[in-house]
Amino acid sequence: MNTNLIIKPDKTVEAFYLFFIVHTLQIGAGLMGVPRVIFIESGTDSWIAILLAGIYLHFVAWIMILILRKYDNADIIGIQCDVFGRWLGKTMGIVYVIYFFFILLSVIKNYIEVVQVFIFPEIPVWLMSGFLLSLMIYALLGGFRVVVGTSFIFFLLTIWIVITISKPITYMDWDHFTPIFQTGTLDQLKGAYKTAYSVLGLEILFFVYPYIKNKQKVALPVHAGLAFTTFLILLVTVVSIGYFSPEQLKQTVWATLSLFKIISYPIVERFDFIAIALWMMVIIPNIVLFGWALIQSLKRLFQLPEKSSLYVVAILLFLASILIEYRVHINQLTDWTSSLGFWLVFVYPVILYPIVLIRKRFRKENTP
Amino acid sequence: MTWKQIFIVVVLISISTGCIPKSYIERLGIITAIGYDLAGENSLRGTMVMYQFDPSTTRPSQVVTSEATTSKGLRLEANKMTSHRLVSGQVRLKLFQDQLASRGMTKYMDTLERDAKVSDMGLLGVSEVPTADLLKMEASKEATNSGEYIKKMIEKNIEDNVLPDATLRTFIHDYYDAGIDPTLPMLTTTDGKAVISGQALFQNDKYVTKLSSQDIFYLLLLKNEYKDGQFQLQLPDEALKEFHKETPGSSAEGPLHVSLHEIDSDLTIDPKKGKPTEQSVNVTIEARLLEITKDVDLKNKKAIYKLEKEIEKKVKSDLEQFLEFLKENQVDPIGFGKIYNAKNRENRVTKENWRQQIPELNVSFDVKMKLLRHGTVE
Repeated sequence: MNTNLIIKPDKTVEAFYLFFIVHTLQIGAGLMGVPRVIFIESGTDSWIAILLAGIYLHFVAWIMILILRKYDNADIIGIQCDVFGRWLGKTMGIVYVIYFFFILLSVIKNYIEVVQVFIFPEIPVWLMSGFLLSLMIYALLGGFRVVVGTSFIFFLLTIWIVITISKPITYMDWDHFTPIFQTGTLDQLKGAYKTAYSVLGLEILFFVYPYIKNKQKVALPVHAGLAFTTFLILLVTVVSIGYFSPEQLKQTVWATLSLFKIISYPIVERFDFIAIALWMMVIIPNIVLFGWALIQSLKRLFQLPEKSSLYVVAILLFLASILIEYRVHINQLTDWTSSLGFWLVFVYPVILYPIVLIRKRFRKENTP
Repeated sequence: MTWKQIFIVVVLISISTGCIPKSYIERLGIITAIGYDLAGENSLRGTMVMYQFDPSTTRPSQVVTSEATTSKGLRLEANKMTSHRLVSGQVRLKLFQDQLASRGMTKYMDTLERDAKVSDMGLLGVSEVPTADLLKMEASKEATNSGEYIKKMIEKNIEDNVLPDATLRTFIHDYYDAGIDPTLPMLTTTDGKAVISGQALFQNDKYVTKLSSQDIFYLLLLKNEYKDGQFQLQLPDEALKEFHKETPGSSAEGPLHVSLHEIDSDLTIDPKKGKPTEQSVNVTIEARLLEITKDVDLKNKKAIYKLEKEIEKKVKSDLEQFLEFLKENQVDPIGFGKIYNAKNRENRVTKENWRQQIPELNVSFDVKMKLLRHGTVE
């Protein structure tokens, strides 16, 4: 397998789009419940935990870009095979494939769960997952540029929802934030760790890098995307802590969606219904981008034809989404993918970088 | 896209809409208000006011009463009594009988919270009479049914700063917060009409006692919710004797009442460091004098000062009485414990230990009164 990819110029995109790719992939199902998850660990000082997680995100992105710059036009699959050798490299590639599969599953299942709880309790799971997966197939058949276009368009179509949070802000109770620094360092770190599930998605950089036209400009859009994600998570968490009582927030599963419950306009009395329907547009870039990365990895690892592997993956996802029925199982799945994602996305690049450096130097000395 | 593809998409869209259960508005009974009463030891009686948009019926709203053990069970039972399918997405008012409320409201409200269909901005209330009586009352002209009428009445009073907020959101928020108890408006019937008779005070979610409507002013004053409010109070008869005008046949006799309007209040509550039971309260009230039952010479600055001092004295002693009332009943609707928690790291107030500490509460009040204007006559 070639370490570097040869991409035709008509398949590449500008570095500018990385902002949308990274950001839309990070914001997804996780944002709906993230305030509670962080609050349980870090309490009233959750905002510090999020800022810590945000800083660490930038650090990881910096490392990732450093790794990618060591090669001309490689993705993580190629780099791993170059660094670890064929067998170990491919095994690590399979870990990525498994991770993408389960994160896709958990995104789909979590969204269907929300639709069932909030809007249509009677809607069958197979219908919803059929809809979402057919959209995924449709977008993926269009190729990489369509995938990027999806994330760009759906970002513009949904970002205005942020403005509606102004209403819950008026109900905030600022007493919930003082005194600050009540939480211990360990709990802060735990909170930062829990933020992980909602900011997974940075790993896409390892896969799309070969497809970027102007590689020297990669850093800015990536860091801007990360900063915007951190800001959104910070916003919904701070508003949730002020809006709910501490004990109440610990029990509210989808705190972000519950915030929307009090928003009403003369023609739309319950905005949460609209928000959940619109959330599908937030979910689709997730599904499409993760799906693309999954198919791309399969192609790079085993030279599988894109179309047939896409259909097989879609059918497997469809079956798996029907088989998981209980909410506890969905939560378990989310927890597993979350911790796998944490190691793969936030720890692995930091370990990989020194290995890449050593490998490169070692080679230089051997082959002058 | 080719015509064939467009055709497939259109067919798929039209077929897939059938997968979602339909709700025809003519076949729905849209519940707008529910009242809960205690029927037996373990059973509830529910009264539901519902709208139906059936063109063949003449009356748009209907009241159904049923008995069950859970509040969703009530809806199930009520479904047997009506030709319409009952839905709870539009419930705007929930009333609880006082006997039921004193057993703890959250066990009946759990379903309100768990069901995502129920809006968080719905209003809650406690009733001194069975809620069935309130909701079955003949509606007045301004509203189509009694539930609607009561909802509008509570809503208006909250907007006018006569009542504290009574939404489900606020109730649940205060219930879960440590160091504060929720409150709700109290309703009763007078001459066949629903009226607000005071404010129900809670220990956590258990109804304890009723605050008279006169004292709601002090509750609001200490919750810092005053913007453009109004209030009447009675001062000692002879308080302003030296400034009475000497007009013949003047109303020098009788009690001295003043009516204050456009009240704007400022509030600071300072708990002592490490001691949640020691608190000091500073209240600054700005208001307009609209009515005074004695002919007082208001051109005289001294008269105004004297009047301000008298009002300050009265408000202060009333606040102290009000606090005694809260201490007797071990309730803290103002949230002294919560304010302490926001400013202190040590000796934190929790839901458990605050209840015992309330009777030891020691609050010093400092009231400042400013009468800015006094109407068109002097």
